[in-house]
Amino acid sequence: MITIDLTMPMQILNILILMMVLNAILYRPVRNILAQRKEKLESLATDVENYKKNAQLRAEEFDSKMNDARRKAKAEFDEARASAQAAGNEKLAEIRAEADTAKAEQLSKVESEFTAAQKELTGKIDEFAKEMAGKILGRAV
Amino acid sequence: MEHPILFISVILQMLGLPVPHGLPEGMLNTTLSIETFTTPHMSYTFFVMLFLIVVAKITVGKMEMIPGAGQNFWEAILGFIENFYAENLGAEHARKLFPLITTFALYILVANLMGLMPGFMSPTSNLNITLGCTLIVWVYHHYLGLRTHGVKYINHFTGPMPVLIPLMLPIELISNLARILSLSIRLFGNIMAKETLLAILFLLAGAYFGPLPILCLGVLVSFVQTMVFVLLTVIYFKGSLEHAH
Repeated sequence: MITIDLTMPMQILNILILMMVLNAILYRPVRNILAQRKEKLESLATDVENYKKNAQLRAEEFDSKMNDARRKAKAEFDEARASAQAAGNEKLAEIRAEADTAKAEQLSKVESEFTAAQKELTGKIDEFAKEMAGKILGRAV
Repeated sequence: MEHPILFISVILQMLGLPVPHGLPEGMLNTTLSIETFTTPHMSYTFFVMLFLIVVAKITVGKMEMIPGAGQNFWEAILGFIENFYAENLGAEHARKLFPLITTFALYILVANLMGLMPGFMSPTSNLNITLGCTLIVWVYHHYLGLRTHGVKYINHFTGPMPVLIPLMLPIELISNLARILSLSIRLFGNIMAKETLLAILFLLAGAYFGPLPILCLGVLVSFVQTMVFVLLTVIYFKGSLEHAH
């Protein structure tokens, strides 16, 4: 037989009491620790995010510094090469000028020797001709 | 349904307490007496309450960030339940309603399953128990609606346009009152049917092979009925918190 009696309001009271007791000994502690863990994980996630950002910033900084250094090194290298090139060209021009001077001196010396020798030989033409004629004729001319 | 042997009732009788085994026809238990507390469904309700409190106390010791077995079990169960509420009611309402609905869930589940053991009965196989739970839900969902919407809560019962009020108001009121019956009698009927069937099969088909499939089915029914009660409770709360369409 289905009857509704005093146990019904008592059950309402029972459930409310059970709810309060379980809330105090079970729900609240477990939910608190879940919330704490969530908070901790979120803060860890924020830390990880910050570390990632820092790492990225560092990497960008490193890259920019590397690029600067590379640019600077290239500029210095180019400058050194250009100055070396200029110095080399100057030296080469100097040497060439020296060589040209020496060559001209040598040429003029050879020319003067040649002229002197020519002059000397020209002066001895008669003597040579006489000697040659003497040798051909077999007697002194 | 009266069980052949109920351990708690036997113990209470041995202690010299009066244990009523069903009230005489037409007689209502209207005065508070010791028999109100020793009625089997009440004594088993107290047992369920005690069981839940003791188990919670034993399994949940000191709370730690890295949980032990008991804490892990409760964290998984309660975390899952809270997520389910939050999906349906929103995080804020889920937080406030969590203790009430979860108490229903744990109480009804343990009460349903307890009847599967010989010598125990499901308190939920008594209408007073299920009606008590239902009335809390029914009253509280109206309280929530009134607190959230104020006087405009009446719009939940008046239908989409004023011209339909004479038609919609009685329908909505009847359907709302029917929630009390549907929620309480569904749980009571299912669990009483399970208990009755088990008792008959124990008597007719022996101790093991007859009742075994019904015991398996009983486990399923216990879980399903708990789920249905909790789900409907959440739906009623959600309905009372929503704006009227």
